[in-house]
Amino acid sequence: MEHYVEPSKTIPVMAKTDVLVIGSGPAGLSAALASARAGASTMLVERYGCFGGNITLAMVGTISWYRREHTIDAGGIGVEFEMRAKKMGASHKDPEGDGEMLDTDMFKYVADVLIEEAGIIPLLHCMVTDVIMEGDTITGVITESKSGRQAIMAKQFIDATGDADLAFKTGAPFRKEPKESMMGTTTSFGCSGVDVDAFLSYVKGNPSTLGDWALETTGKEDDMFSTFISEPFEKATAAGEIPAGTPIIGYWDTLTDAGEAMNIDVAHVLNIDATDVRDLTHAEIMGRQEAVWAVAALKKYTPGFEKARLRTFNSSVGIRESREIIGEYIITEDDVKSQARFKDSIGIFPEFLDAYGVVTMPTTGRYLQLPFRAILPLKVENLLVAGRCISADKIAFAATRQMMCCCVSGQGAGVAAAVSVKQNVNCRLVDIKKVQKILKEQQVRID
Amino acid sequence: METIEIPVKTIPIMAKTDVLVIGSGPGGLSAALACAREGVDTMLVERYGCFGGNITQSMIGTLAWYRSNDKVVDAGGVGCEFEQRSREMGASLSIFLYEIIDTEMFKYVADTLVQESGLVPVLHCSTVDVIMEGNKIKGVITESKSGRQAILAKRVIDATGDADIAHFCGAPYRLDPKDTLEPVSVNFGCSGVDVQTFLDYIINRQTSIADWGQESGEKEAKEFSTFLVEPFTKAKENGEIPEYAHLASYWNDFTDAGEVRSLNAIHMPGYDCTDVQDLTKAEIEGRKHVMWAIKALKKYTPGFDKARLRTIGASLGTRESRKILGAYNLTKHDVLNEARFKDSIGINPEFLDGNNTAIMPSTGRYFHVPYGIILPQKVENLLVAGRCVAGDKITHAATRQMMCCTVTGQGAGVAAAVSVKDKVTCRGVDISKVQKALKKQGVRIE
Repeated sequence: MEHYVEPSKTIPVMAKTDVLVIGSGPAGLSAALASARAGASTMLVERYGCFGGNITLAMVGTISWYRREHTIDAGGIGVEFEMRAKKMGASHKDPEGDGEMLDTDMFKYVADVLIEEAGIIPLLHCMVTDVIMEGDTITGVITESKSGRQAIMAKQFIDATGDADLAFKTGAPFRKEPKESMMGTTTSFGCSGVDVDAFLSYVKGNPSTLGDWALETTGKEDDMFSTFISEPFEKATAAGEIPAGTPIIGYWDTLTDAGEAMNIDVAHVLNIDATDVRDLTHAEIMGRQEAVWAVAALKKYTPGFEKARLRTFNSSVGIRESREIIGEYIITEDDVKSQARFKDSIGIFPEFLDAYGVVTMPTTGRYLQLPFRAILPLKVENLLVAGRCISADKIAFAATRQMMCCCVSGQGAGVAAAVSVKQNVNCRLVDIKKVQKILKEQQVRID
Repeated sequence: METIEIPVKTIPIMAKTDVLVIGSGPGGLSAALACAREGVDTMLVERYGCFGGNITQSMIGTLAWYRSNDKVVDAGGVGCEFEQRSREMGASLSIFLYEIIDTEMFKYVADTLVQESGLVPVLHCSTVDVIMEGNKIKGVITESKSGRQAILAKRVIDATGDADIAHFCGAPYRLDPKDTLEPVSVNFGCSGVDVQTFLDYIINRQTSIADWGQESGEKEAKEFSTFLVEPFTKAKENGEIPEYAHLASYWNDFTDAGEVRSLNAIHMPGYDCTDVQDLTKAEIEGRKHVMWAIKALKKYTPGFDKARLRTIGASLGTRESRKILGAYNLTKHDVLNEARFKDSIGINPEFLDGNNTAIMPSTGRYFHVPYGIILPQKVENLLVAGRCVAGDKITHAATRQMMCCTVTGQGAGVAAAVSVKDKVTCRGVDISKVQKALKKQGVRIE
């Protein structure tokens, strides 16, 4: 490939802070709140126009769909999102789980409020594009925005980009599955004009279970209620209205008494490498096309949807996987299936797996401890990683990618970064006991 | 201020094309489509996840709301095609003589137009710098999930809204002090509205344009306007929302499913949208205003008692920022006196809205949009389209309008294509050839 040699440049340092969090999805938002509440001067940089990432941009509100009677959660900020959203009229009843489903547009405001209360310094419409290193130590980042190219210097950094972009740019090792075997992207959408009662009657008369869609379960999931829906899309495909082989299949989620069916998770595109801008372009365009086909199919074949129309597409295609760092510890399949315990726990996560059609629901009270070492990349100092890109093998990823788990790894990263600043140490050497103490003070269950 | 040295960097060239359009709002989308349809290789780079800019990101679907009677003349062209195509695809509401475009479905309409045209789209890709050879632009530098990359192009069209590319090139422009700039808006929609009750209430209290325009003529005062301010005034009187919140809502995008989809209610002055700190403040402050607005609507507006937030625009809406200095700078006199230009790239109705000016084009009067306002000084092979074209503050009230952005966009697209085919600079292009091609594309030049 041809290259262009870009001349050197002098750029302004726009800010200096203690802890810089890049990305404001479930992990990044949790990390920033945790860090600020632990007393560190914290800045949160977000590429798009609102905070919330997968929640607000990709339109996924199902932060706790897995929760059943005996599920044990870490608590902490992830659960706080649910409770605060509920209090602010920004949630809906989850049709599957015991928790709250986030209203994905109202959550933009909920996030704003949390950030302001915590005294975090926010930056929106600002993309972090490169790192500034001193040897192996990350000392700053380069950003691009309407203000041009600028630097932000900090003491500790948290990569919550989802794609481990910062870790990647520092040269830290990572793994990435071949795109043909990755889970697909999704264009979440909503409909208005839905006769919710009629639709719910249809669902009652045509119940779906997890067993209908899961490829592999532990058995107990098979008969559990699921919002899985496939019939209208199968019919439309058989009638030639959707091209054969198009992966339109999935779940309905939020229903409102204003006749909205929101966050419908059925329009998927496969073979997308989310670290490739051309693939992302294709995922967006194809995803919206599939959403349009899906709405047409729902209108034609699903009771309650006769007068429905498209209400909203998500702002950004939803990504399930891309890079995961290879950290000081790689969480394994065995760990997530055998209630692994770690001395350096930064929080627990219920035995809940959902990826590649492999589903384990946490109805037993079993849970895993997340080790601090899984958020510590190799080779680079003063960088932590949070969210779906933490260090885990393929099956463990089925747990660690979950939004609630992203909140746990995020909160852990935030506190660890803040404590590292206070102790004036490289985060690799932070006193984990101090971190755990503060996490407990922040209402996180470590054990 | 502290600075840091960025060393020399070798970056891959991701693509080479004939015409590169940066930004896919009304200006850029029109430019890219027009250019591709002339048969040259065209690439369209968009920072966010969908095409449409102000339409889809900032939720404004009323491209032609000024078309209040059949005397109003338009250039036709791609802007009117957006309306027609949206209607055909069930993505608009037909009201009076114009279409209220469904700003969400327009993402799909735009995708369709883009794919049909054969242009090469790139989404989620920010343009962050330019590659120059002397005063000629040769390409741009982008940042995306693929990293930092270059795109080389023979011609570049700056449809960023903020003339970012012109700025990177060192082309001259003016950026007025932020306390004199038009306000920004964060737009939103509501669901759970009893639309019939709301409409009955509105029809029983007709409002007029004169409510919001201070410098308008007699005819404006009689025209019906979709303007709502009472609920916000009442809420302020009762101390429920702060006095400083400038809330006054246009509404017109309502459905029989209880949605009022696009409320342009929030106007916040004093922001410089070329400043990331201001953008951040404006987004957060804007969302606060949205909550206040809904609170007031629920309490004081019949039909809204069960309403809830449906959507907040993905990006705030900017009305004014940089304006390039062009080969020609449009004047107040031009836009108010039906100016005619030999280098017309399309007509525009005498419609002004902004900077305290409100003039509706119901007389049928119109001016020519001259090529000179899309041609920046000093830089070769760069054109600009959209609200940042050259002109004084009053002309901005006309040229910032989305439909006018489609006219300057289409003009830029065709001019760039013709200049590539003829192997001449944009500055040296044969304007009569450009006009011929525009006419063929259905644009009214005269």
